[in-house]
Amino acid sequence: MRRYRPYDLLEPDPKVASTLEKELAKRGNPTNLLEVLRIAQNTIGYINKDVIFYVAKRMRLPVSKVYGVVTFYREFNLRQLGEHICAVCMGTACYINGAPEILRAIEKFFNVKPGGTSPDKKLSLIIVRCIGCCANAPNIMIDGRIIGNVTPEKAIQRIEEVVRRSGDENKKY
Amino acid sequence: MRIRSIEELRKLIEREKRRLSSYKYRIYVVSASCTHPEVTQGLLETLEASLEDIYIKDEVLVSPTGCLGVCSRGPIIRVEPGDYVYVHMTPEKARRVVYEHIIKGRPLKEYLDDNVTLFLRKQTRLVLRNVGKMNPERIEDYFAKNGYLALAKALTEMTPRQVIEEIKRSELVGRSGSAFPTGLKWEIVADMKDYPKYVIANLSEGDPGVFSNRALAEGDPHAIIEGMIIAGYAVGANKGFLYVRSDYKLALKRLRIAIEQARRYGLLGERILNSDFSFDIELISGVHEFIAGEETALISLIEGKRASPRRRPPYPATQGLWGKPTLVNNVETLANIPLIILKGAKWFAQFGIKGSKGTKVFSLVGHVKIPGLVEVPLGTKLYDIIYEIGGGIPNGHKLKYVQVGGPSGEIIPGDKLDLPIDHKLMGSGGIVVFDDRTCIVDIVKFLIEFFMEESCGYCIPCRVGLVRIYEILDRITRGQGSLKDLELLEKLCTVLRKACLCGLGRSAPIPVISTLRFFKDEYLMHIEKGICPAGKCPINKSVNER
Repeated sequence: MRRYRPYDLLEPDPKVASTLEKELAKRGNPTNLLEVLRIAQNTIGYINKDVIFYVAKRMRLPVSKVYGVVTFYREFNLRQLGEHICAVCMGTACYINGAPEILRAIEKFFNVKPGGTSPDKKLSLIIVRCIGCCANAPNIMIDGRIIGNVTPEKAIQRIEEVVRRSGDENKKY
Repeated sequence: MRIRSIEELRKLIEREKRRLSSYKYRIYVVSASCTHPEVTQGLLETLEASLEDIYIKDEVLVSPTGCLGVCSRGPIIRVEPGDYVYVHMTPEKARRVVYEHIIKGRPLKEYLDDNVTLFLRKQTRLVLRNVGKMNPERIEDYFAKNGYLALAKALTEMTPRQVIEEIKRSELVGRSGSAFPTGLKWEIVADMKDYPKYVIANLSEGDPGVFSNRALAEGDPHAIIEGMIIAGYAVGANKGFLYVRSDYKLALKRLRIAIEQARRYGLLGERILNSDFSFDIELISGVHEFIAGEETALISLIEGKRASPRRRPPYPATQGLWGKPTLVNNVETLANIPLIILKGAKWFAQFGIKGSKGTKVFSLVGHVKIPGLVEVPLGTKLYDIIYEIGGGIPNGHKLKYVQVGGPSGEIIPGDKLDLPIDHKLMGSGGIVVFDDRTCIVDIVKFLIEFFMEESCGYCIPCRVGLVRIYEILDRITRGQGSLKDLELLEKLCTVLRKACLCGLGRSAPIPVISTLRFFKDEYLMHIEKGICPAGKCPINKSVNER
């Protein structure tokens, strides 16, 4: 019995397929696997099974290998992330200056666990190990912007500002 | 635009030096990833506008610059001549600086911070020589600092062998932690008869608490590029890869600009300075993985595979990227190269102590008054760095211990601070200061948790051993540890030290081993009395419940 469908039958999202087609024509070499996967992720925000099968087939690599690469690097998401991403730095300097309290406060206020997304899909929370601004510890990073010297209150306030700005004014988090 | 000879470059350098010195004052606004771009932009605009108001815009240069290393006092403005560092700037304060300092020529004492001035003055900045003194996005500013002259000298006056000999004589060692002699590494790659060869510059900087490479790339990207080209010339490589963590967005942007500018001036590409040597650099970025700092893992990453380390030997120097000889150097090592070529190995060797030459950029962070980047000659005592430069411990607390050399560095108790930092101890250059409010077991548990998460999972001692060490430490912090656990801990650490494939696993137990040596009584307090002296561990809760 076949455990899986033959991957010729799986076609990814047409948007991804057309982008990937262009990229693969330029860089079909397996060396560019990371680059190709990155482009796929930038198109739809995450990498799903179809993309993995498709890329493996087109680059003539075993599916296991592509899957291995996708799961190894934390830059690839296998699930859709929230609209905004908040990263709490857990470097040594941030840790001893109160990062755990900040993390707990954000978890509680926005109802989100590290590595997860809030119920309304607005905010994803991740933990990073050092973003290189240790002199301003503790740091958080909202959508790539670094905010230093944060307290639990300031962190929540800044995240709320960003989340609110993107729409729904009245909704209480 | 193409520079065709060393004479042309010299002329360009003279022209840029004259241009810079024609300004009566030069105002540099620190623009790095520790300051918000809007804040920097606001300061730059305010300064320009207020200079325009009084019609002296042409006499004063206003320019962004890299991170001075005192981010905690930002936003910062630095005024030349005279090296005045104004801290905690706002547009209003900046306007006052213009009126008082620039027009009336009276430095504003109240905006200067004596501690910061001392912090900067007591350092010996070789690697960070241009950081804070030039606009990193203009190659012309780098020319004014004798930029690319070392490259021109190497290409026109020296053979690749002579370059390697010079580096060997300088006794420069790798700055990323392994402390391998740089000249020797270059020689091994140069001796290989297998072509093509590659140069990889490593800016993955995964160590928590270390940010010296970021500041270097943001403040002086051309030094890295120049070092890379010279390395390529010395070992006979024509292609370089520069790996940068993708969350270092500003560093990435500035390096990209720098590479483009160098190409435009013909300092990268075909036949550099009309010599027979061609070299080009490809910028590679990926989201931060700690393991990517390991050289064989980095090679796997560039090849498009999982970033797992490989068995060594063969070393990358003989069989690296795609099986070809590859030189992997940290960017800080490479930034030293132009200086050594230009000023000579003898000049370089005057810094440091016997066996450890040159300077090292340390990231002094944690419980210290002025956290920041400290560049001092190797052999400087830990005490001097923390108290003389860093200003000591804030809020009246006492120093308990210091971790030197990144997360896998030695933990040194507070009474052993007269230790000189040599190349063995320096590691990646992190100095984290902990005061008496921290619990040693909690911190070691935190460090091991970090390694546990970052382990690539390829070899068993690391993958399983670190989890077991973490579990034991977790038990101790919960008050469920026993004396047998300590024995097991020591045994596990020995196994990891000996059996792991790469440096991550082999160095991960160092904090455990060194704390078991110096702070065993604190472990015993947790186990025997059920007390966490600092009150950080969950153990205390269970005591209250009892």
